[in-house]
Amino acid sequence: MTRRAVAFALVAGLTACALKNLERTTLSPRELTAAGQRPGGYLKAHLKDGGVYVLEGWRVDSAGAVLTGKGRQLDPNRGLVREGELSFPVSSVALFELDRPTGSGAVAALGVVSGITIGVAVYCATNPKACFGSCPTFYVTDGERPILQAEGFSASIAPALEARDVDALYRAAPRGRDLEVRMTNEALETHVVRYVRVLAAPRPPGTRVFSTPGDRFVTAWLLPAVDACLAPEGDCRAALRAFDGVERSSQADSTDLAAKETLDLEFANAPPGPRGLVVASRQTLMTTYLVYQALAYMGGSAVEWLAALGRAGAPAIARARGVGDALGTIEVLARDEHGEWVVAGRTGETGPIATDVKLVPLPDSGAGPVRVRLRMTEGAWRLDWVALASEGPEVAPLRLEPVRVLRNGNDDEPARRLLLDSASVLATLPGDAYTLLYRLPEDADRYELFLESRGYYLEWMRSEWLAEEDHGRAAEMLLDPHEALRRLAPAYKRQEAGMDSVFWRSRYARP
Amino acid sequence: MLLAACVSNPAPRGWLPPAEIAAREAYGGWIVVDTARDARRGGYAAGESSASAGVAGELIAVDPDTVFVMSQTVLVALPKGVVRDATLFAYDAQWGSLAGWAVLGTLSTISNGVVLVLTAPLWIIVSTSAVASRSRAPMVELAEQGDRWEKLRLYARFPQGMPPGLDRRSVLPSSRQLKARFGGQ
Repeated sequence: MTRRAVAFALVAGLTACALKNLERTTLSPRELTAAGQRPGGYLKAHLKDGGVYVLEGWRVDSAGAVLTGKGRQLDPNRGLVREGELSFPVSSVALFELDRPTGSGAVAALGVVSGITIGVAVYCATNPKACFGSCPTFYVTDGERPILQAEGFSASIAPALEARDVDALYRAAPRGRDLEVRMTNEALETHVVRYVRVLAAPRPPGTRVFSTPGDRFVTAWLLPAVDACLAPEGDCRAALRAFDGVERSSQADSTDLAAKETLDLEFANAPPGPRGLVVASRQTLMTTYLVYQALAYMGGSAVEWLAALGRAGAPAIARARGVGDALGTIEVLARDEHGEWVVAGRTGETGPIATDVKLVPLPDSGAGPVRVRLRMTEGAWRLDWVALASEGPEVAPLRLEPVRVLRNGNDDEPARRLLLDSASVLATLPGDAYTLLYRLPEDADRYELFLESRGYYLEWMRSEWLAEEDHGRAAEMLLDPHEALRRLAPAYKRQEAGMDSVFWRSRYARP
Repeated sequence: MLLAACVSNPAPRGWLPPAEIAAREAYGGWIVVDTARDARRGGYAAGESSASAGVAGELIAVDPDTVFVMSQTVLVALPKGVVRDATLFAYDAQWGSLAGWAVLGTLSTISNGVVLVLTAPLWIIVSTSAVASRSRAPMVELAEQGDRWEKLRLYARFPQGMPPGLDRRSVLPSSRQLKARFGGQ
C-alpha cells in the first residue's frame, strides 16, 4: 500500500515535471543577436500587416537589416504561408516578441517536498525501526505553552502487559484551578486507555513532592546542586545540575547492548537526616528498537505471540520482560557500613519521549559529603537532572478524574464516561487527540501534580518488518535475552545515531 | 482547500494550449473583459447582445482607445473607457496534474511512519500553495494604474496593435475557437 502510494506519487510527479511557465518579453532589434544565442526561445516577428514569423533559431546580418531564421511565416489568421529557412527585412517588423518556456516554481516546490518524502520513505524502508512513536503522550502547560510532560504506560505493549503508570508533571504551571491535559496518539498504534487521572499532592511552601519507585509521595527540600560528577567521558556536572533539557547520555556498547557504565556523584554539603536522590531521566531509543525488533521477528505471527502471552500467565509475562530486565533501570548505589557499594534503589521509566522525575530514598549516612553511584546500561538512558534532597513527610495525593473531555473542541461525554468507568476503556487511533479538563483544589499552586494513567497499546505492524520474520530469533529474545542483546549489538550500533535524529526531528520541540 | 485556492481557466476546454505550445503559436490569450452594463448599448459589432456586461474570447489587439476581442466568431471592439476589469489567461496551466501529484504525494506520506506528522502537513501546505500559484501563473490582469493595458497588450494576437491596413472583417477566430464552439474538439 505504502509502496503503491509512493509509486503513484512518483508517476504523477514525473508527469507534472513537464509543466512549464511562459516568459514573454519584447525585444528591440539590437537585442536580437544576443537573444538568438540563448537556446530554448521562440522569436515572433510581428509584421506591420498582421502576419508573423515564428522562428526557433535566427541571426541578423552584419548591417542589422535582414533577419534570417528557421521557422514559419503565418498570415494574420495564423494560416501557414511558408516554412523553413526564412529571411525578411527587419524594417518590415512592427514588434519583436521573445517567448521562452521556463521551469515552474510550483513544480520545483513539490519536487523538493517529494524529495523529502522519498528520502524519509527510503530511510524508513531500510531502517523501519527508526520511524515510530510510542504510547499515549500528554501535554500540559508550563505556564506559557503546552509542553510534552508525560508518556503513559510505555512498557505495556500487549493486553497482558496492561499497567498503571505515574508520571510527575514537574513543570506544570496551570493558571488557576483548571488544568488542561492534552492526550494524543501520534504513533502508528492503537492506544487502549483505562483511565487518566491527575494526582494532586499537597506541597508545603518551599518544598516539592516527588513520587518514589515504591509508589510513595514524599515532600522534599532540594539541596545544592551536585559538586562532582565523574562519568566515563569525564566531568558530567554541567548536564546534570538542572532540569533544563540538557541531558547526559552515552553510546551503546558495540558488542553487548546490556553492557553497564557507572557515574559517581558527590554532594559536598549535605545536612544529616533522611535524604533521597532526585533523578530526571528518560530512555534512549534502544528499548524501543528492541521492542520493534522483537515484533519484527514475530512477523505475521505477532498477534498469536502476544495473545499466547496473555493466556500463558505470569511466567510468560516475566519472560517477555526478559530483555527489559537485562537492560535494567538506573541503579542508585550508596556505600554501606563496610564501604561497599550497594543498591539503594532503582529508577528509570520506560519510554524515550518524556522525562520523568523520581526520588530514590538513600540510606542515612550522617552529616558530611554524600557520594552516590549510578549504574545503568550504556547508551540506554538520558539523564537530565540529578539532585540531592532532604526527605520530608509522606503525603497522600488527591485523585482527580476529568470533569470534561473534549475532542476537536467539542464535549465528548461518552469518552469521559469510558475513562471514568474502570471496567471500560477508551481506544484511540493514530492522529486522535483528546483534551482532558481537571478541576484542581483551591490554592492549586500549593499542590504538586502527577499524571496517573493505566492501559496498554498495540503496535501496528509495518510491512517492512515482515521481511525479518524469524521465530527462532524471537524465541531467543524471550529465552536468552543476554545472548540476543549481544547478537543485536552490531546491528543497533549501525543505526544508533541515525535513528535517533530521524525520530526526534519528527517529534517534539522539547521533551 | 486545494480547489478553493485555485483559479480555474475560463477558456473553453482545450482552447488554451500548454505553455510550450503557446510559445510556438501566435494567437492571443483568452481574455474575460468586464464592462459597465450599459456601456455597449448601441452595439459595436453585429450579433452582440446589448444587455451583455462582459466579453470573453481571444484578445486580438489593444489600440490606444480600443480593445479588440474575438468573441465566439465576432470581432468585438470595446472602448477602453467602458472596461472595468479584464483578466487574461495566456496558456493552460494544467494544474490538474499538479493537484493530482499533490494528493498522491500527501497520501504517500503514509510511507513515512510517524514522520508523516511532519511530512503530511508539509505536503498540504506546500502543495496548496504550489498548485494555487500554478493555477495563477498564466493569469495577466488589467493594471490598476499607469498604462493599464501594457502587460495585456503583449498577449494579444497582434501585440503591435491592430494592423492599420487590415480589414477587420477578415480577422477570423482561431481554429481552436471554432472547434470549441462547434464541438469539434
